[in-house]
Amino acid sequence: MNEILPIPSPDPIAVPGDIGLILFLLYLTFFIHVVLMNVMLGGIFLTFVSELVSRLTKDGAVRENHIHLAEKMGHILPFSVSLTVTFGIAPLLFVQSIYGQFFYTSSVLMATIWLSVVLLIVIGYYSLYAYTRGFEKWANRRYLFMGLSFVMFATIAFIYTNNLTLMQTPQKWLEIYTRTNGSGWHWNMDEATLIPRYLHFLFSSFAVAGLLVTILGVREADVNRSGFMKKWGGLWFVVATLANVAVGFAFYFAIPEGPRAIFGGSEHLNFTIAHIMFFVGLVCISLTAFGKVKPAVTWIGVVATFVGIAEKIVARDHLRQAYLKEVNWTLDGLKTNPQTDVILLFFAFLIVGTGAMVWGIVKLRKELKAHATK
Amino acid sequence: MSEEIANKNMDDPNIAFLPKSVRERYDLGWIIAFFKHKQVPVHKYSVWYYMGGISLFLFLVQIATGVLLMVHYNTGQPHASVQAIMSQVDFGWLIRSTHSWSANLMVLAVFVHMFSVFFMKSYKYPREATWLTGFLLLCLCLGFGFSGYLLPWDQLAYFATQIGIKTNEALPFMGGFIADMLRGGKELGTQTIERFYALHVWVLPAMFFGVLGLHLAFVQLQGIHAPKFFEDLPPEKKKYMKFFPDFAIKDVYVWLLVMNFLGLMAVMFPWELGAEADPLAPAPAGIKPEWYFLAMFQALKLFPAHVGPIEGELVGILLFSIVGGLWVAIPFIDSKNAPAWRSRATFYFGIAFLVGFIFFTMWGHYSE
Amino acid sequence: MLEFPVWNVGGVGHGWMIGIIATLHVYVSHFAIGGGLFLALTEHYAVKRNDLPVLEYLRGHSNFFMLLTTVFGAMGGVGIWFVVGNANPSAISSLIHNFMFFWAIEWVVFLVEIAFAFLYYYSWGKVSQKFHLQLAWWYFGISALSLVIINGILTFMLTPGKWIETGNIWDAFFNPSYFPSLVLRMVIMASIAGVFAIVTSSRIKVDELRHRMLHYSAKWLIPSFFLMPFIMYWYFTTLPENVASLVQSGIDNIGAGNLSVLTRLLLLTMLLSVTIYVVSLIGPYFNPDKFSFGFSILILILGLVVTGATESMREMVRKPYVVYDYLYSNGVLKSVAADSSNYGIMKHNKWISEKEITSTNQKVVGEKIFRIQCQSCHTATGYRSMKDLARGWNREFIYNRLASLTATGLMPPFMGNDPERRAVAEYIGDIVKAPPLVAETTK
Repeated sequence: MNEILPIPSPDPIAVPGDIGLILFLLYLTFFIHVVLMNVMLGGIFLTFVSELVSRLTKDGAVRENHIHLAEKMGHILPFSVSLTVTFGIAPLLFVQSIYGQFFYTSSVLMATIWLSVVLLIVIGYYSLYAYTRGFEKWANRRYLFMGLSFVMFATIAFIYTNNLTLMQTPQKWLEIYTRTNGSGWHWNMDEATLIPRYLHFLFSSFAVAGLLVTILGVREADVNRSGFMKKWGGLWFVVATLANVAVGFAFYFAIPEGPRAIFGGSEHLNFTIAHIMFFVGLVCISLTAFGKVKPAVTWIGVVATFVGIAEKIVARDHLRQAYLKEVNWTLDGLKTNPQTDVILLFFAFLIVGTGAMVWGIVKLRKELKAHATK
Repeated sequence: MSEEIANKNMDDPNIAFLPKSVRERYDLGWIIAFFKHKQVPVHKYSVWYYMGGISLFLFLVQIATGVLLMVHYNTGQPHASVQAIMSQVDFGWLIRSTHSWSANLMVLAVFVHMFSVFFMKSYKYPREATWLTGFLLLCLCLGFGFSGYLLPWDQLAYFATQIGIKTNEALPFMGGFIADMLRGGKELGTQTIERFYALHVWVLPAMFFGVLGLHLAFVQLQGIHAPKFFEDLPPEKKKYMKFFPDFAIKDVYVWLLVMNFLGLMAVMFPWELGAEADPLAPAPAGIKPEWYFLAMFQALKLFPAHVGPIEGELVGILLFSIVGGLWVAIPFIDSKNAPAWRSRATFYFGIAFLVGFIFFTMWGHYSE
Repeated sequence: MLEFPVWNVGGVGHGWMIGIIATLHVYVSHFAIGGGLFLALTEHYAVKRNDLPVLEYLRGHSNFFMLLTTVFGAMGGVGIWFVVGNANPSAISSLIHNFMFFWAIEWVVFLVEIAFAFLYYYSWGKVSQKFHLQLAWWYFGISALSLVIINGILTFMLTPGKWIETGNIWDAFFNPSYFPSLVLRMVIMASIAGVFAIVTSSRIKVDELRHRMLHYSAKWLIPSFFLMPFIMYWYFTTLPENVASLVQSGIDNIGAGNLSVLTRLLLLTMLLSVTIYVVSLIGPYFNPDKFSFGFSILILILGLVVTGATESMREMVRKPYVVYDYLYSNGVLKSVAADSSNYGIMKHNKWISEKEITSTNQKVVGEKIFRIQCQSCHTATGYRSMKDLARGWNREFIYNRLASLTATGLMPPFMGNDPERRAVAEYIGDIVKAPPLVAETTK
C-alpha cells in the first residue's frame, strides 16, 4: 500500500463474500435507493413549486390542479423518505465492506457534519408529516413545511456528495486533518467536481420526480387532471434532463484526466448506452406530455430512463475505482473469505421477505376492494 | 372512649381502611375528614404547590440520614470519623452523600417554594404569619447549611467557614461578639466544632420543629391560598382537587421522584472529602462559600474598601439587612388594602431580587 | 490498527456522543417490538369482545407508535451506525466485515418490518378486522425477528466465545450470552411497551376508558418485575470470568465507599426500576383515576434513564475491549498489542505530520498521540478527564504509569516507544500543571 499517504490498512477480517457478488448487490440496492431518493428529493421540490404556483396564479383551474397534485404528493412523500432511508442502508453496508478504509476516514474527517445528517433527516421527515397531516388545518402555511423539508434533504444530499468525493481523494486528507485539528468540520469545497456532481444528482431528482408525476398523470382517470399532470411532470423531466446535459459536461471536465480516461476506454460502451437511453426517454416523455400517445410509449420512456440510470450507477462506481487506482489501490488487493451459508441464508430471507411484502400488499388491495363495496 | 363514639367510628367510611381494633379505640375519623375536606385549587400554577412538600420531604431525609451520621460522627476526631463513615461503615458513603445532596436540594427547594409563594402573592392577608414563619425556616435552613458544612473538617470547610464568620465580624457593635461566640474564641479551631455540632444537631432542629409546626398549622387552619385570577373566576369555573387522597397521592409520586433524583446524585456524584483542615496552611486559591451564600459573597466584593468613613463591607451588610428587612415585611407593604401601585412595585421588587440573586450566584460561581 | 484519524469532540468525549444516541435508540426500538406485541394482543382481546372504544384507542396509539418508531426509531439506528463509525471506525469495520451478511439479513427484516408497520397503520378501518389483526401479528413477528438477528451481533461484542479461536461466524453469532440477552430484552420490551401505553392512555378523554386502559397498560410491567432477577442472574453466569468477578466484587464492596462506576450504575438501575414499578402500581394500576399525563411522562423519563444506565453498564463491563479479547476500545487489536513498547506509533499512524520527536514539538506530538490512543475514552479536561484522573501526579509518575496501563485491568496498553511515551507524559503533565521535569530531578 501507499507508504506516504495516511490510508489505513484494510480490515484484518476478510471480506465475507465474493467481491463480484457484493458489487452486484451494491449496484442493485443503490439503484433502488437512487430512484427512491430522486422521487423524494425531486418530489419535495416539485410539490413546493406547485404550492407556490397555486398561491401565485390567478387562474382557478390551474390552482385547483396544483393543489390536487400537492395533496397527492403529500401522501406519497413520507413513504418515499422511509423507503429511501431503508434502501440507503444496504448500499452503505456494502460500500463499507469494500471501501471501508476510505469511507470511514473521509467520514471521520467531516464527522460532525456527517453525523448531522441523522438530525436533518428527522426534521425533514417530520415536517413532511406535518405537511400531510396539516394539509387542511395549516392550508395557508403548509408550504413552509415542504420548503423546510426540501432545505433539509438538499443539504443532506450535499453532505453526501462531500463525503463521497472526499473518500476518493486521499491525497488531501492529511492537510485537512491537520488544519481542522480533527474537529470533523470540513466541507470539501476545493473539490472541482463537487458542485457539478451535486447539481447532476439534484437535476436528476427533478427529472425523476417529473417522471413520477407523468406516470401519475397517465394513470389518472380525470381527463383534465391527467392532462395537467402529464404536461407538468413532462416539463420537469425534459427541462431537468436538458439542464443535466450541460451540468454533465461541466462534471466530466472537472474530473482529473487520469480517472476521466475510463470514459474513453472501458466505460465507453456503458456511457454510450446510457446516453442513448436517456435520449429515448426524453423523446417518449416529451410525446406523452405534449402529444397524444398510448401509455406504452410512456412506459418505454420510463424503462429507458431507468436503464440509463442503472448504467450511470455502474459507471459511477468504476470512476471511483479509477480514482483509487491513482493511489495504487485496486479491488484485487482485497482478501475474501466467503461465508457461503450466511449468504444463502441472506438470499432466503430476501426471497421470503419479498414474498411476505407482496402477500401483504396483494391481500390488502383485495381487502380494500371488498371493504369498499360493503 | 364512649360506646357512642366507638359505634360512630365503626360506620365511618373515611377510616374503613383501618383495622377494627384501632377503630374501636381511637377517634380518628375527624383527621381523615379534615384532610378530605381540605382542597387544593387546580390552575396553571398548581405545580408550585408541590414545592413546600418537597422541602418537607427533604427535611425528613435530613433527619433520617442525620441521625444515622450522628451514630458514627465524633467531634473529637471530626475528619477521621467522617472518613471512617465513608470507607468503613456499611453504606456510610451513601448516607453521607445523600445527607449532603439532600441539604443542598432542600435549600434549593425552600428558595423555589419561597419565590413561588411570593409571585402567587400567597403572603397577603390573612397569611402574614405563614410568610414570617417561612422566612424563619429559611434562615434556620441556612443555619443548618452553615453549621453542617464545617463538620467534616476538611480544608474547604475550614476556609469557607472562616470567610463566613469574618463577614459576620464586620457587623457593628455585636459582630465581634457573635463571631467569638460561634468560634468559641478568637480562632477557628476544634472547639468551634463542638459549638457547631451542638447547633446543628440540637439547637437548630429544636427551633426548626417548633417553627415548622406553626408554619404547617397555619397552612392547615387557613387552607391553601389561590392566586387572584383563580379567586376572580366564577364559582362554577373554579376547579378543586381533594387534598386527600388526590393531592396526597400526587405528592407521593413527587416525593418518589425527588428521592430518585437524590439517589441519582448521591450515587453518581458522591460527595467528596478533602484533606484534613490545617489552620496553618495557606488558604487554597479561589475559596468560595456554599452556593446559597455565593450571591451575597459576590455582591459584597463590589463595595469599595471604604465608603466615606465607614468600611465598605459594613455598608454592604447594612444594605443587605435593609433588603432582607423589606423582604420580611412584604405582607405588610403589600397589605390587604394596599393601593395597586404598591402591589405592582412589590412584584417588580421580587423580580429584581430573583434576577439579582441568580445573577450574582452565577457570577460568583464563574469568577476566579 | 490505530491508522484512522480521530474525531475531536472536545470535552464531551466519544462515550457521551454514542451514549446519548444509543440510549434514545434502544428505548424506542425496544418499544417498536414490545409495542408490536401490545398492539396485536390488545387488538386481539378488543376484537374478541367487540370492544370498540379500545379499538379506537389502539388506532390513536398506533398513530403515535408509527410516527415514533418508523421515523425516530429507524433514524436512531442509522445514527448509532454513523456515530460509532465516526468515533470508532475500527470497531464498526470489524463488526461489518465479520457480520456483513447478518447485517444484510437484518436489513431485509427491517425493510419488511417497516412495510408491515405501514400496512397495519394505514389499513385501520379499511379492511376486515381479521386481516387487520393478522397484519398486527405479522408486524410483531417480524420486528421480533429483527431482535433475533441484531442480538447476535450485540452480544458478540461482550462474549465472542469460541469465535476467538475458530473464527467461525456461527460461533460468533450464537455466542454464550446470546440466549439470556435475547430473553432479557424480550421481557424488558414488554415493560417499555407498557410505559409508552401508560403515556398514551393518560391522554384518553373519556374517564372510564382512560381508567381501564391505564390499569391494563400497567399490567405490562408485571412480567419484567418478577422475571428480571432470574434472567439477570442467568445473564451474569455467561459473562467472561474477568467481567463476572468485576461485577461480583462491585456487589461485595457495595457497602464500602470505594465503588466502581459499574456498581454505582447498578444501584441506580435498581433504585429507578423500583420507582417505576411503585409509581405504576399505586398510580395507573390501583388509582388510574388520580393519574395524569405529566406523571406518565416522568415514568417515561425514568425508563429512559434506566435504559441509559443499563446500556452504559453493558459498555462498561466490556472494558478495555470493544470486542472482548479481540479488539481494544481504542481500535488496537489484542494480537498486535503484545509488543506494545516497540510499536512505534508514529511509524504506523501517518496522521501525525511530524516525523520525529524533538524538544520543540514534543508536546504537540504528545497531544496527537493522546488523541489517537486515548481519546476514544478520555478527554483532556472534560469527560473522564486527565485533569481529574491524573491530578497531583508528577511527570515521571505519568511516564511510568503509561507503561503499566494494563495493570488497571480496565485499559489497553500504551502503544509506543520510549520517546513517544515521554511525549504523552509531557502533554498530560501540562494538563495537570505538574512542575517541569528538570525542576523535579534537581529537587
